[in-house]
Amino acid sequence: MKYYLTTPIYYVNAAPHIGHAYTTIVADLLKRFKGMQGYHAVLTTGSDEHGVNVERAAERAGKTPKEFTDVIAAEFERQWQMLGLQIDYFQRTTSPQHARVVQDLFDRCRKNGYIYKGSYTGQYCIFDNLYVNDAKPGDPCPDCGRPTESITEENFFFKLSAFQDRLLELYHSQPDFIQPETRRNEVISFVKGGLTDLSITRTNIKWGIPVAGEAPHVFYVWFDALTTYMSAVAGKTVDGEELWPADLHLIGKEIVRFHAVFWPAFLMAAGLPLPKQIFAHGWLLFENDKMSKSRGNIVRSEPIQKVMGADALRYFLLREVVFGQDGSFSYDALIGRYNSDLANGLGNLASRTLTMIHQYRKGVVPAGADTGFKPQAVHAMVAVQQTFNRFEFSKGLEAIWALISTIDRYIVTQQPWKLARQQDQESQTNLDCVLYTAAEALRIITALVSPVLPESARKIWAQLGMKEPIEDVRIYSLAWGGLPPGQ
Amino acid sequence: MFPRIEAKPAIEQMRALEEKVTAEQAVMMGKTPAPAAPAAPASPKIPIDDFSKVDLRVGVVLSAERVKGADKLMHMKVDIGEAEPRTIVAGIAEAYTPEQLVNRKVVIVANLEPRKLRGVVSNGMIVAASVEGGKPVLAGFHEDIPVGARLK
Repeated sequence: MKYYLTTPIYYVNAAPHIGHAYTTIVADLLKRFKGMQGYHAVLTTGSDEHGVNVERAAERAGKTPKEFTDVIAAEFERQWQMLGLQIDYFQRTTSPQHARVVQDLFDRCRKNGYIYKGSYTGQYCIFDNLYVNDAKPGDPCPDCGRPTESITEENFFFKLSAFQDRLLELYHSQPDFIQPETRRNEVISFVKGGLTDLSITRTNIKWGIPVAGEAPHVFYVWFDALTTYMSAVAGKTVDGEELWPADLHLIGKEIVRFHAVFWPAFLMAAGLPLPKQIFAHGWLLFENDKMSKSRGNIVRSEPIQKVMGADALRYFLLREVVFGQDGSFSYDALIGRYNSDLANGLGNLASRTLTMIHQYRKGVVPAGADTGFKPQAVHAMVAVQQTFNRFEFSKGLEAIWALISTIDRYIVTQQPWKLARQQDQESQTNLDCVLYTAAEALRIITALVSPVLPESARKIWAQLGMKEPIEDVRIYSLAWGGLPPGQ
Repeated sequence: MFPRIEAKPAIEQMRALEEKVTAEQAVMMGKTPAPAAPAAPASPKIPIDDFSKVDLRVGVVLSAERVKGADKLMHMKVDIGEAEPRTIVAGIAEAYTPEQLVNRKVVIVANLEPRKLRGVVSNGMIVAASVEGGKPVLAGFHEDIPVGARLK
């Protein structure tokens, strides 16, 4: 079965930073986790490359918009490669194939009577790409504080107002369409407050997708950017199943309205299938401050990856931040988490277990199991499945780490280093038991953490002598006692 | 697996890298111009005769392949207007692919004493510019010029 998920496509007006990495890392984790559940998971990300801001930024850089966006899009791709993220499709809004899908969406909506030509005058924030409702000339943009500009133009409009009832019905009949709950409530009250029609083309922008036969109109960001999720997989199937509709759009909370209101309305108007779910996560703050260019406190993922490794960053983001809420990043917290949970916790258990098997049993896993730990291992497996399915990653990791400390305590109580010095049969049998138990727990723990810590899990897995590639492990076939002795 | 990390040096290292990446991204976004290369220290003055001793020729790369076991070395045949093409081995394989080199006009030091590099005798040197820690960039011409022409 397919599971198709997307990150937002990132606006090339800013270079990649940890906020982009956060969403994309979580998407990669989900792709791996869904794969472990037996899905054929496919992940799309990409770059949003049109609009007046990009035109201006390119001009400042002394480049054509095409040259400029080529460089920035490549930089995003490079970042994801460096972090080892499994991206299936990197879709650029400047690709010709994307333009065809955008035009097709427009044509379908127009044929169904949801598009009309009108004239629009409004106060417009060119930075945020939006008209500011109820603003007077000169008023600042409520989102970014920059002064708005008065603009009048002939536009194509989308009849968003016609979709109020159908959208409310959607949120009602599919309660998990928008998650978490706080975001869902915000969207419902926004839609209940009434919807105004949406201007979907511009005549004052050159750098955009032209509307066929309607020059000088080009598509404005809504029809262009959101459609990426569909165009990236247009006509593509896995195991005979069409990838569209998406099973999940993973987004940041600042773009909920576009994804949960505009996008399903466009698809309803076009008669196309809707995405199954939208999950909006919170912001990553820097030492409890909002990261911003003006504060000069933007953190990039590259230095962290180079000094501490991609897995350290992944673990921190997933364990420290309650997914869905705002979270705080600081270097101190990153290193604190790393030392307590990875160096002392998982790293210590792995190196201790593997060293003892090496020293006392010549590197061969002995037979014999303390089945007393089976219930707790099963509990961890179930907890990971349940919590990850609900996007509660930190809770799932807590359950795994509870198992790690149990096994740590067990090793300390059993004192295998003492058993190893005693030659009698009982001590040696007990030692076999302790070693097998520790190794088997480590195997299950490693499989469970593998979507979060793919690089490290692959290494521990190989050191345990497991033949099956860790990517092929399925969570439902993971059972206590699965570690074959003698390897 | 997961060695302990000392907070202070690690944070300093990450902050230093952060500054470097931020500066690189600012150049990429066109917000600041690319930094100029630090000026190379000036060399002592020489009379023109010393310079004339160096036989610099325009050449064209006929073939290029990487030297096995040496990441940096490229083994090339370069036509500099003589009866036989020159064999030249140069440390440019990290900066250029063989496809980028073939048919490209380059500048060759034609009277350098032959030198053996990884078992291949290199008979001449290719002229390139570089900054400390950067990749070499080959010298070339904006207008067309026949192979064998001398630089002076």
